Amino acid sequence: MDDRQKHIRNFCIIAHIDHGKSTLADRIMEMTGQVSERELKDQMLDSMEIERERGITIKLTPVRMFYKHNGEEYTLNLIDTPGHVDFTYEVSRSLAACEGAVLVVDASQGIEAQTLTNVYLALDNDLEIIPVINKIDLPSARPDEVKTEIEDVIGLDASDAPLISAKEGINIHQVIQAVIEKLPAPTGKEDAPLKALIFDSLYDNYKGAICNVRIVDGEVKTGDKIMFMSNGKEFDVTEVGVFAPGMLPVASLRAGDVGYIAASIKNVKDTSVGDTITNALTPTQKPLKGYKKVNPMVFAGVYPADGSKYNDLRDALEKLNLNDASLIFEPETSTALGFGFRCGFLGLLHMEIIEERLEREFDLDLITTAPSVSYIVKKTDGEIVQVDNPSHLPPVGEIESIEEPIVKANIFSPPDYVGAIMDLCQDKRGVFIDLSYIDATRVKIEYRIPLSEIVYDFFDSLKSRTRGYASLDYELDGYTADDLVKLDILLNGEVCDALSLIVHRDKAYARGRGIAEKLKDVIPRQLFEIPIQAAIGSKIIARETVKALRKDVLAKCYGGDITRKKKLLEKQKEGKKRMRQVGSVQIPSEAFMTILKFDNK
Amino acid sequence: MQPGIGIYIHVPFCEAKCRYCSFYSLPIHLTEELVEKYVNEVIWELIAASRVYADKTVSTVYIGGGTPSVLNLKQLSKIVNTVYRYYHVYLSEFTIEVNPSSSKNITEYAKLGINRISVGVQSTDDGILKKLGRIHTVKEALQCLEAAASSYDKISGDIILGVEDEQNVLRDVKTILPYVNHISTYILTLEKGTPLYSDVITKKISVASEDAVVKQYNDVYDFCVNNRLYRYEVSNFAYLGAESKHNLNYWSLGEYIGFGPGAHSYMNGLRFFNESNLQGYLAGNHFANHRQKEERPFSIEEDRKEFIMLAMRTAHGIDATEYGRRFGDDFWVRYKKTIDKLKEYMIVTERRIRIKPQFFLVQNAIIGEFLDE
Repeated sequence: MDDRQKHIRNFCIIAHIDHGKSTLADRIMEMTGQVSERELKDQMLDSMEIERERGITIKLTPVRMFYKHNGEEYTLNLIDTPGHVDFTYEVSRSLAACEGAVLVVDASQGIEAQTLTNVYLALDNDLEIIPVINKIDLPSARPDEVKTEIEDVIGLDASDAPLISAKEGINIHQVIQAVIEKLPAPTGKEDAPLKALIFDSLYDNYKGAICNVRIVDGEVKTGDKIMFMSNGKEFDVTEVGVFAPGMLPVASLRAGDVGYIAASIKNVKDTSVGDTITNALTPTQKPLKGYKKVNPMVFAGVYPADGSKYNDLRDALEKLNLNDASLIFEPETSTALGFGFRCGFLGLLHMEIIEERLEREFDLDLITTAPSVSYIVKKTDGEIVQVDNPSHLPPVGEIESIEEPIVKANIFSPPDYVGAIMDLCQDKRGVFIDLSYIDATRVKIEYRIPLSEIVYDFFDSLKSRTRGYASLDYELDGYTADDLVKLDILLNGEVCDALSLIVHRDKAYARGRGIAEKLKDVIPRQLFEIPIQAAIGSKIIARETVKALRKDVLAKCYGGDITRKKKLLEKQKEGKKRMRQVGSVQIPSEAFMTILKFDNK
Repeated sequence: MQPGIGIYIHVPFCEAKCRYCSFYSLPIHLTEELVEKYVNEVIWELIAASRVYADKTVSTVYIGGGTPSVLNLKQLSKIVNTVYRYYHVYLSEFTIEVNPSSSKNITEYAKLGINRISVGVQSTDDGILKKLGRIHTVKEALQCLEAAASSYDKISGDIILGVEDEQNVLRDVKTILPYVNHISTYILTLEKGTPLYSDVITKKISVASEDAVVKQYNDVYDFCVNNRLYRYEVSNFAYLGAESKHNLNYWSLGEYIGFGPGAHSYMNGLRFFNESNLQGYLAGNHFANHRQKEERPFSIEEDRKEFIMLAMRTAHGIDATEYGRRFGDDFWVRYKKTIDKLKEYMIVTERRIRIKPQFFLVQNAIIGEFLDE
């Protein structure tokens, strides 16, 4: 191994959400002089507005730093990772580009669900892990107990884990020293053919698609002809560089380096994450392992509130897609909502973030249907279809069975809430797997639960039943057939396709009734009476009625008052702009959203 | 359409503020000096406008408020005389609003040239009058009607609906009918900022439920129709020929000039209005510039909407020929989609379209569709 690589450390920081990962990243950058304190906006690596506002990391962002240790200069490449369960996939991408990980654990909260998930991911990738205990400045900090937790639950030696406060800047240098002393240096072969792992890609208006890469073997420089091994496409490198942070061109990237490659790639789809880049003239024989493509778990119809904005919505989705390959979308039409898109998301948070970005960054008003999962339907004729839009479910007579995705859920909680959590899981059709005590104050509960139940309102219910103390993590664990039915909502006798749901038969009645009641409240009275019915097939299981309008009139209207009264009428009319016509019935946009959560009464 | 314009004179004074009223008014007894200034300013305004509109004939005059009957006879006659002296009055109707508590001069108004009286009866239940903050009694109201009947042919009575669930509005209407040939029935509207509004919000008192209001309105409607008073506008009933010409002029988007604070005008296609508080009004030099504030930007679209919205409130509905004359396009073509959609709620004849009687109370939902298009 050459001397150069000995002085490189590629690492990431992993943690449960809110355990202080991004703050630690900021401190490390500050310590290495990468950013002056003045430049340092809070959470430097969280570049999206939403990320900063919500205090979460969504996209991974790399940064290169220098640090002098025992008289020698080291290059540190830090890759920030998201902490939320929806983005586990992105974490695994960062991990594959590193030799080690700093595991941040909150000194008062201890190990949480995503701490464990991330540790397992890191171990799967053969990473060295350095535990760090953060927030020791808090009065509720209990570092010694947390150390024991780490040793007992994860099996990592935490005896000399740095005790830090990222917020107060305490003992940050210990973390950096541990990174240098304990994490292995990269061991790539510089003279071997180029092998570079794409761990992220993004789109730049001037440079085209840009690949963030970890060079495993070999070297790449401007002018090289490179090839993507998955599709064989070749490009001429126009620029290589590192993240300083921000893109800084360099002469070449060599084994062990983390950086980016630009090659006038027009289509971001050519740069699939996990692919291996090699030199087109002297290609390597074997691509890197890469990682399995992640599939969206949650689906929803996304429609412009103003039907004429369909093209704007499409443009916006395409733009978001350039930097967020995990978002998928395809056009769909709804009789109620018109033209829109069926979008696939990694999870609920991802969906929420995409919606928010569409509304904020592209100034769009959206109507989103209730999130659904993807069902596998076996038809009587033997055909198997994937259904991610409830209104596309084949007729009952043609269905042999419906399978739904199941997740394995890990829930961490203080023991006091075990009863409440088990009730909730049971209620959500969960199947108990295991319950284990981490220590006297914390329990880990494992269940198999249908994803559709998680998607519905599991998070909120869990939070409210445990006063926010429980944390949840889950991973897909196959498909299971169950007695699932399509629940239709009829307005004035006509099925409103955008309101259809696939639910378990036992829950259909309660769900149907709940939705009908909710709709009764949100649909304004109109000139005629509107029956709202919930139905399974042709069987009506719930009915409510929006009574006909009885009085809607301006009491007086004379002289000077006329203009004011007209404005009043026009205001009423404004509200109607956000209405959708379903048959003869007008429905406010909110109606499609309000049906999502009615359990939290 | 009447041949001439309407004149509206706003009197911003009251004896006391009603608990449901959100209009600007001042207590008459605190402001003697201001009242004189007000009368002078209105006169200047009338004179100034008479020069601008020298070519116009005046068909109707309406003195409203506030409470016009709180002005003394001298003040009132100065105003009325100015109208007659400076305008080409070819009169069909000259109305004054009168409150029973300030109606001692009611028979004198006829001598000034006023020929129609509108009496604010509101209710024949003292409890309800009290709840509304009206300062007169049922007895005073009846005396006032009686006096009016001795001197005038054209008398209107105001009745208010929706104050209480168990409100005997039929008795109200039956009681006043011997004296009047016109009845206005207003549904109580809770206006933000009024004492009544806050009492309802804080649940100190309640007003009639929607169902009760609808029943009250329908009771009054049935009674009036059975007694030959037809509903020519959603809140107005009259014997044939006894309709308020002045108000019909508003509803057919005819021309009118408003005088006094807060009064609006619509003349020669322009809309303008006065400062609504008295001090601001008095500070304006109306003699030099009678168009104090103009409504801008002004568009034909606004006129079109107002024309439809107002006509739909009347029994006659929209006259498509008149629409075409005003706006230059074909009503039936422009609104075809809306009409098709709403045809079960409308009566369509060759020339007119109007809302079916049974849907008058939900007319906003229908009118809204026309404003939409």
